[in-house]
Amino acid sequence: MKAASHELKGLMSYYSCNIKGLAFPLMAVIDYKGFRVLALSILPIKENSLCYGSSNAGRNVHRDNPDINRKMDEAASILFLKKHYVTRDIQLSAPGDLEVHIGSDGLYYLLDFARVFCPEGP
Amino acid sequence: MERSAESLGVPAPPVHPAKEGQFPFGRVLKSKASEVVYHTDYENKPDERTDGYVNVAASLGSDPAGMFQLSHRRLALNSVNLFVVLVGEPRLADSSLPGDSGSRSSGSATTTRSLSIKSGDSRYDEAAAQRGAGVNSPAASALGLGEEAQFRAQIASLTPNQLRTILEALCRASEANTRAISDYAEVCGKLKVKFDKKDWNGDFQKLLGQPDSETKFRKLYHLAHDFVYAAGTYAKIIISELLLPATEKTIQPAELGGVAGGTKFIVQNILFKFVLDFELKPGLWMYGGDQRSDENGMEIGSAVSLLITFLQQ
Repeated sequence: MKAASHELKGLMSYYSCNIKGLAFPLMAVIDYKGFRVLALSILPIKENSLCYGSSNAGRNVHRDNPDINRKMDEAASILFLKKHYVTRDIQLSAPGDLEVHIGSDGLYYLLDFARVFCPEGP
Repeated sequence: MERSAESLGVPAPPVHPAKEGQFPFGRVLKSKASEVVYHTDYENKPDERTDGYVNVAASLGSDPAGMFQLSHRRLALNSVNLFVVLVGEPRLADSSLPGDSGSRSSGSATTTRSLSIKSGDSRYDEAAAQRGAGVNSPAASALGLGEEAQFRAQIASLTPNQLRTILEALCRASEANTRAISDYAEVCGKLKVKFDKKDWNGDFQKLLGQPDSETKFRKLYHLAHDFVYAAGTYAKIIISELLLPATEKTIQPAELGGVAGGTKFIVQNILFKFVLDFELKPGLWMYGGDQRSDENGMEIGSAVSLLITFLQQ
């Protein structure tokens, strides 16, 4: 599935932004016998540690932590991604389903990179 | 060959009892990677025969208290049809096993416990396999509620050291057996059996936090290499077992949240996601819209999954 390689691509581009404080999982895409599997390291996060983006397809969109908001804006400006409305009143500078969690070790973990870049030219 | 090795003074390597075809209290009827079936051999232990149950005095090192008693209560094990129970006190053994080893164990009640394991018949094994017992709460499904509570109390009366000794003894018997028992002991909250799993993310973040140096980047390279190797190995297993029913999978699918991603597996602190399209509601697919779409890299896979969908209908 293309989604898996998009996920890796998104992760790599966010990682190369070199924003201090943003942390990323280890990720590998494995192709075997025509199937594609995505492997991620387990992160020290919980469902309620979400503070940026949405984990339920846009029903609740978070933008809670000003520090994270600033860092995500910074990363988006490096990636030439424009801030956009995800719901009626919440603007995110990342895809709506990208999640940022505060891990139990205090780092900000990013997840779900499959929709970081737009599918076609704007 | 053996004699010559002994005459040379070379100690014989320890052989796994299941592999050797022998077992302290019986013989192995059949042995596969995933299941070991033991047959109780009464003739080997004629003096310890007690209506269908055989006591096995497991010699547990130098500890004389390490002789444990397992009575006829059964602990449905992970695909091993051994019925095992740990009896905490001799009086419990008396009440639960009338006419059994109570008299024998009463002489040295405070210091000695023995281990008795009953092997079940193959019919039970099949029934247990059909129910898929032994994964989440092995004993809960096999024992009645009252029995289960009593069993819990009995395990609770053992000290962690005693439990550990039992585990070690059973470890020699069968690896699968030990895993199931340690699972159960963990359920009882008595003994935390920790398996040393690699903390990929912890190591990764720790390395990234270090100041730049040659060692840091070498270690990072090794970590990434190990991760890809481990992920590849387990992914191959997961993909090879994709079409097996869930009860027969070596790696069990994990229940995790999230809309996208399909089936997920967790092995060795690595999360595996299948990136297959799925139906949000009848007629609406997450990626494909009105039809299934498993594009690129999944050509063969999507053909197979189409076949599965066809077979399921």
